[in-house]
Amino acid sequence: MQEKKALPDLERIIRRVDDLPTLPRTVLRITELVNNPRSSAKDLSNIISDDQVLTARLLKLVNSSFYGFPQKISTVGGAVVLLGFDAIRSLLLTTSIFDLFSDRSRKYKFRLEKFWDHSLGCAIGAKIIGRRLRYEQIEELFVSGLLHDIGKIVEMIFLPEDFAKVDALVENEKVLMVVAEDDVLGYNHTFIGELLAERWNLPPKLVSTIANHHEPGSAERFSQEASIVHLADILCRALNIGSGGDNKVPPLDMYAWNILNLKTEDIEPIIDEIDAEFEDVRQFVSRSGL
Amino acid sequence: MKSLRLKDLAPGMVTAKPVQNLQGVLLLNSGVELSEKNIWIMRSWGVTEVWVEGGEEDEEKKDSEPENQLDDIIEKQMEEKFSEVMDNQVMVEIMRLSRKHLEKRLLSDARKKGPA
Repeated sequence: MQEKKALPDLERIIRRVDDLPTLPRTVLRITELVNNPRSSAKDLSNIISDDQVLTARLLKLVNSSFYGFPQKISTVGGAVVLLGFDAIRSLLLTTSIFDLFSDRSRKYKFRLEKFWDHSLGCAIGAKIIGRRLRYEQIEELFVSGLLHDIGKIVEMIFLPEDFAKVDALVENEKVLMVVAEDDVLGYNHTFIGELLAERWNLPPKLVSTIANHHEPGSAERFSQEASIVHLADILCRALNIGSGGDNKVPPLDMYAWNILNLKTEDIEPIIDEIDAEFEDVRQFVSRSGL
Repeated sequence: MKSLRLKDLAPGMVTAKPVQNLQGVLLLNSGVELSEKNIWIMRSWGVTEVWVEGGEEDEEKKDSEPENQLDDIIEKQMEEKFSEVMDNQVMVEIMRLSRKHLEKRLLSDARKKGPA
């Protein structure tokens, strides 16, 4: 855990995080299942089939033009086999989380949309960078990218007084949100995100990436993953994909850059791919009413 | 010859006067043909204007006025976004490429909307 300035605030946050909604039980079960190497496709299909909403959503997604499969897929089992565990988990996690937070706040509706755009952009960016590095579990990178800033949403909706203070400082001093958070609150969104991820029983790799995406060096055995999300975050901000809550680009951590072993020539193709894929996904998401 | 803003420079143009950075260090002599690389170098040094050889072939600039204004907005926004990270070569490159990309996107959006 990170060093914190204000202890009383810490307890308050932990208490609030305990009050947070949990992911739908089914999604939690799916997450556990996917983490378990002994699970079978049938196990996964059974869990999904038990939940009507998830079943309908999965079948709709898998039959959409986004995937472009030539034949109609009418069973959960078929979808699981075609997409694979990791992709299914990403899909279901994405839609559930969007659900959880989308109706909650009319006040911040616009910002929430921008925020999700940024998260989606990072998810895509992380996947693209991972692909370039021939990283194997790129769906996990997708989920990491999607959730890396979840702490900010929690702040926005569940710790509104804190969020307002941070927001004001960002506006006035033109700093990064994470800088304003540390300054005003003594903690930041990576810490809240970490707490939430642990509470949701997400795998250690995800927890670490969320906790360390600004300081990939602290991620120890998950430094590569944290570095990937770190870079994806920077690129999305540079490309104005959504909003991270401030108008600054975080400094590139050179440790991360060295770990990734990319060259400046790699940046342009990555940028092009991120933008193209983001447009595709965005259109798909809005059309399917997610 | 004419004075151009950095964003209006293109490879192939030729400098009409020497180019210096804010500290008075000579970056390019006059009579030098511009390339992507030296345009980038000038940008990193904070050069804002360069005198180049050439006459008045920019009537088309008038038609793209709105894009120029949006270009300006992009440039300003980029500079503010990246203002504290410019000491890093990789970040400079990221900024350059992102800007290039955003301007391309702007152009293609404008084209999609069609002539007024």
